[in-house]
Amino acid sequence: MTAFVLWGLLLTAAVGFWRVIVGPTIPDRIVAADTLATILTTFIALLAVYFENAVFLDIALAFAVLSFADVLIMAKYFEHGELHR
Amino acid sequence: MSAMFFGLSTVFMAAGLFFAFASVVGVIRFPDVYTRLHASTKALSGGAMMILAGTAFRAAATGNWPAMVKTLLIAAFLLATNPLASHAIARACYHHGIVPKGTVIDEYAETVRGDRS
Amino acid sequence: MGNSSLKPLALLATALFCVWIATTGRADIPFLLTGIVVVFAVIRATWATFFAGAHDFSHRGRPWPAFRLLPLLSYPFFFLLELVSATWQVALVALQPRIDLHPAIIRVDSRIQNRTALVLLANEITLTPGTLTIDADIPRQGLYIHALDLGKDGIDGVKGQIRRLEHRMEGLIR
Repeated sequence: MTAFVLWGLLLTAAVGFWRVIVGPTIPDRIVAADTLATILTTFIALLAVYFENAVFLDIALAFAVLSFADVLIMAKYFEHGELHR
Repeated sequence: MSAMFFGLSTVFMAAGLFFAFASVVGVIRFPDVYTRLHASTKALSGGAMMILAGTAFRAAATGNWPAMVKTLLIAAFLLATNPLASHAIARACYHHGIVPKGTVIDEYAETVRGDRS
Repeated sequence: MGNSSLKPLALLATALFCVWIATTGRADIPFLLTGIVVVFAVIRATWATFFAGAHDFSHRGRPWPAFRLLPLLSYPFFFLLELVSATWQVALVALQPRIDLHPAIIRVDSRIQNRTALVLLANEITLTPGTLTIDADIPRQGLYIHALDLGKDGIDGVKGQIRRLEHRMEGLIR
């Protein structure tokens, strides 16, 4: 069952990648990338169940923190065209 | 008890997969950035919460309590940061000049124009 | 950091220490000592950015609200219920054969004075059905809200929904 959900999430992320490629404007791509980041966070957390190894949970936590900072920085840069504000 | 947790985790994971898929479909089909943010934030937060709840139940079924606490920590973090990220993107889009498509009313436009001048 | 900031400092340190224990998942003496050092390093690094500014608005009520215990315990359940309903609604809209949306951006003036509670309210609005906070005019307590579909229940419906959330938030803080 876990394997089925893992494959499903991977497929979902692949479908969502379409928006990253075609997205007419830059924020469209940012939104799609944010979606993919959240999906991949849950994917990594599920890998911990699949491989019965709790290390993946640490990776998922670090990935969640990094993707949040990433989206904030991209949004700020997009808003001002520079970072220091 | 452990069998019940196991079944619950399966149900939650399947529901979460469904909602993650629905949110990606929303991101692809919705007409503009702001409506896409609705799909990306709300549906995906719910879907991710359900999958992480399934993971937490599975950890509880095997008696791995530290892993369960850590999973709940990830869930709380996602719940706290997803609205913030969507808020930052929406604000950046509006200030950059991307006009929402087909709005009935837009009471934000004059504020932004006032800021610019 | 004056005397008035001692209580939030202690609360913050305790919360961060709990997070440290949850992430390391161990209770050995070296780990706990490292945790104390890390907690104070984090507070030292983030205080000026996130917490010192809170006192500029001290005339508008305390920066850190005092929460009521019983509503605080029941709050997560209401919140998760709202989140599931929001998820279900957006999934329904996304999987419809034809997408027919009437989005709108409206301003809602809130009665909540406390900044922390206002930010919590804005986050909650984002995660409840059909609404998304775009910007907050914090000095005048205005929230700019993007509504996904105004065709169903109109402006008054959305505003009524916000009022309901606001009422619950007011019951939460003292």
